[in-house]
Amino acid sequence: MATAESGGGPRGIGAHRRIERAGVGTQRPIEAARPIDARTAGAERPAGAERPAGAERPAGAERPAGAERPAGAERRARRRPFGEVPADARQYAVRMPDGVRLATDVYLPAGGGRWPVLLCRLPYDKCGEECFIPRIARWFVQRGYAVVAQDVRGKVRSGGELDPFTSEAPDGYHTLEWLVDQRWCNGAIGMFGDSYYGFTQWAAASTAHPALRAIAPRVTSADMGDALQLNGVFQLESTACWCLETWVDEALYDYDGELDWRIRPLCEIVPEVLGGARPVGLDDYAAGRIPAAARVPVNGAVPALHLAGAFDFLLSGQLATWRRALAGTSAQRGSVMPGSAARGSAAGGDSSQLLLFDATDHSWTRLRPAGEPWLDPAAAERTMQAFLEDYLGPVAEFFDRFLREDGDRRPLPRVRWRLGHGPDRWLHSPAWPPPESRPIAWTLLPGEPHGDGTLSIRGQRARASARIVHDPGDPVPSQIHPYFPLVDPPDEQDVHRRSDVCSFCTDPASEDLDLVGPIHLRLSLAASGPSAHLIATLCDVRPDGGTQRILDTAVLVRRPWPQTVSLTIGETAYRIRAGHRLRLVLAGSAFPRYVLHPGTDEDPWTAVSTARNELRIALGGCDGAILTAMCLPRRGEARQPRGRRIGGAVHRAAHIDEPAARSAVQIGEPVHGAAQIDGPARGGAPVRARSPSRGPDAPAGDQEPQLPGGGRG
Amino acid sequence: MRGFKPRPAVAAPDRTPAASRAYGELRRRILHGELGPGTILTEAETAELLGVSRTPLREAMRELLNEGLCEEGSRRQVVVAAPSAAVNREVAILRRVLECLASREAAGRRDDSDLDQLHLIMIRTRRAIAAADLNAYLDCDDDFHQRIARIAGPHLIEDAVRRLRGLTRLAALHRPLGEEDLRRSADQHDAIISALESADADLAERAMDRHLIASELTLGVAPAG
Repeated sequence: MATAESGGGPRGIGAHRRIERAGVGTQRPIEAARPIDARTAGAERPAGAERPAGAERPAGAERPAGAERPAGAERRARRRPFGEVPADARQYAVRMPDGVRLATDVYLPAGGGRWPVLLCRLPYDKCGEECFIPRIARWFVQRGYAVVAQDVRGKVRSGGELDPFTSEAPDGYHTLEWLVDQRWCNGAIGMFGDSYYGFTQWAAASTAHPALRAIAPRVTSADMGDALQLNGVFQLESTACWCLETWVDEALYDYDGELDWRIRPLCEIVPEVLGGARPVGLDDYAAGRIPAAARVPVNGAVPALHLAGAFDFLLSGQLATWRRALAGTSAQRGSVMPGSAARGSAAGGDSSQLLLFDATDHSWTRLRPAGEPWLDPAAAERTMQAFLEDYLGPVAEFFDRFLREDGDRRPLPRVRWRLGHGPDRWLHSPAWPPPESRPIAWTLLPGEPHGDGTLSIRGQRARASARIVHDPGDPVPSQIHPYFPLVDPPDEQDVHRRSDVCSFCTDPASEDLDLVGPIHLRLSLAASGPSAHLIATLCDVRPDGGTQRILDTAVLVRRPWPQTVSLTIGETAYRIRAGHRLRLVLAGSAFPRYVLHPGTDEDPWTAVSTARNELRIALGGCDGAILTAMCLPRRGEARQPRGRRIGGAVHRAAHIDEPAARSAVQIGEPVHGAAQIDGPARGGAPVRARSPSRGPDAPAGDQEPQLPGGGRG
Repeated sequence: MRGFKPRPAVAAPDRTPAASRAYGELRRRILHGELGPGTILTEAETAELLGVSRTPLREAMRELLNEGLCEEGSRRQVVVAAPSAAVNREVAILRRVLECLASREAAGRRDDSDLDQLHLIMIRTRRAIAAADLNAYLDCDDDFHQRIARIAGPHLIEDAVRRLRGLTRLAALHRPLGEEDLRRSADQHDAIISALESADADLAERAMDRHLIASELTLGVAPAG
């Protein structure tokens, strides 16, 4: 073992005195803090586990603290003290039917009476600074809501065993049951919260408890499977950090800079900072064993404000959840709780499933111009108040409509969205992607050796290929933060110059190009190994060469070779400003963001032996790689409004009910035979690339009409 | 799945007065056995240890002398107290009188949140036992007894119980406490909660009395020899 773990001294969280066990002598040395699972604890670490040269993050991309730890120093996750229960919180221990009690704080408006209640169930400490629930509670209390915050089962002050995902539906249901019996509850309950505590809302909604009238899940999904395994690739960094922080025991653990990503096999990286303990669930998620309870049915009968971020790693799942809610899947799925009355469909799925799509990441940090430093909103009272207004304002506006008898009844726009690097205001539209958007397709073409290839809107008949040699001993480093890419966005241009990375770039945009909706990649892949990972990253390249990630994804591809890979890189709302270029980067790894492919048939999680793997991607010709993005029509092309400002209530109401007006979609620049191979070549009629996804308004099997002639021609 | 903070949190400025901070930290270190009985607390070293100046430190030490957790040594130094058997006997007698009546009183005054807070303390208590963390266990034990005292009377009763708890912990510092002792004690706490829940003052008083007698035996501080 690489760590200094053998001493008998005090370990872990402060030097605590040890209780004498019956029949054991007095001075028993302190042992490892409660090993959770000893399956592989203490396993010999293989030789050659050192961090391979080149895996270091380039200068300026280090993780905070800990990177320059002296050799041999002990790495250790730090147990975070619980936040203090604030004086304005009334504490309860809500009893579940199995006798387990859940720690619950109640914040009430002054003066007695009955209030609509906002509930939040989280594993991250209802009193902690990380999620600042007490501040959120006071913000809502001032607006006439009772706020209830609960530690989930097994976490922080709540009783019971750690139980990620599994208990959230029944525990949510029974907490709602407790709430309706409280004298201060007027019977109308909403839920709010981000991420896992957004998931707990979907879990509670799946029980169809009649008192749950509205939810406002942010940066989350009803299906957490994608967050753990993406297209067959384990999301190593985000999941390892999450499990380490959250699912070791009742406490939360800080570990910034503590994880040693050089350790092999990968499954030992987290236990190393826990004295051999293994977080609950981590090994299962890595092996693709996602608990069924991590995927809850979407109950579209509960009105929901879906708060999504274009730079959030849970975005795809969240948009899928929104679409399922709109489709009203709840009717077929029914309730998972016996005896709960199903809500009627009076709420009307599609006028009550609202999407708010901001240019933010998982922490609701917004996209900034390059070079503008991040300011921690919590650093000053004034900035924190401004942050809360921005963070909670749309949520209050939504709850006022769905939880208050006297609330504003005017409908809210179905989709509000903000264009990254576009105008600093909400745009709105009746669907996502906006109905006026239309696909643009680029063909990937080879470039000079060691230079960018080309993203060309013209096709090419000549066949070529791009070659990537994936060396598991020297993986391509991932530089962005797994959760908060916008806090300190790295410049990725150096990584793109590596010889094991293929990049493809457009010409500088002659005018603003607005990406709005899904971005799709189709290519034909062959590899020398039995399987391979392909990482696709989409970047914005500034005129000075500075390069910032927009989206990325990973996929596991298995033989037989060649395989056609059809991949949605993600969805976004992002402006490639005039003079900037769009770059697509293909690689065989992005480590530690995604689990490292060993190049062999071994399980990446436990693999110790590795092999190089050569990937080939076909360029040009009938199976050449194609990138397709939904874009707004350029200036002068649009017949449809590009979105309207919020505020014009009269317009807003009318706008909502507008049909998608799809016939008005304009064809933009001709896409010469790029997207559909059989299309007429040589200046014939342009062929539209098919939209990868058209949002909820698109009828199944909808084909884009092929309009004669060019849009502008 | 919020993850973690992007940066170490900006530490909120600690607005607690330096004297209370020094008092709280010094008391914690004494009760956790980090500063054992007989340890001489020199002003200079202690001030540096706690990161406070001497004036608030003197105030903190005065309070600890008053509480009996420190005593004056020869040459007027402040020393961590080593309570005698006679002192422990008196502590036991006072606790029986005070806490049994407090429990009786609490049975009539407690509300749902009070009971639930006692339940939450017991969740932590049982985790401390499972983790074999004696200091965490005793912190919970303090919280439990002080919480009942606060229900009975948040001014004098709670304060009196708190002072006696400090001396009880000094006495417990070097007693061999086994897991079985702690589990039994936790079960007695649950019995007290049930009695408070039933709002039966006699039952609550008896449950507390039984618990205190058992603790005295465990700690070897039973007043009647």
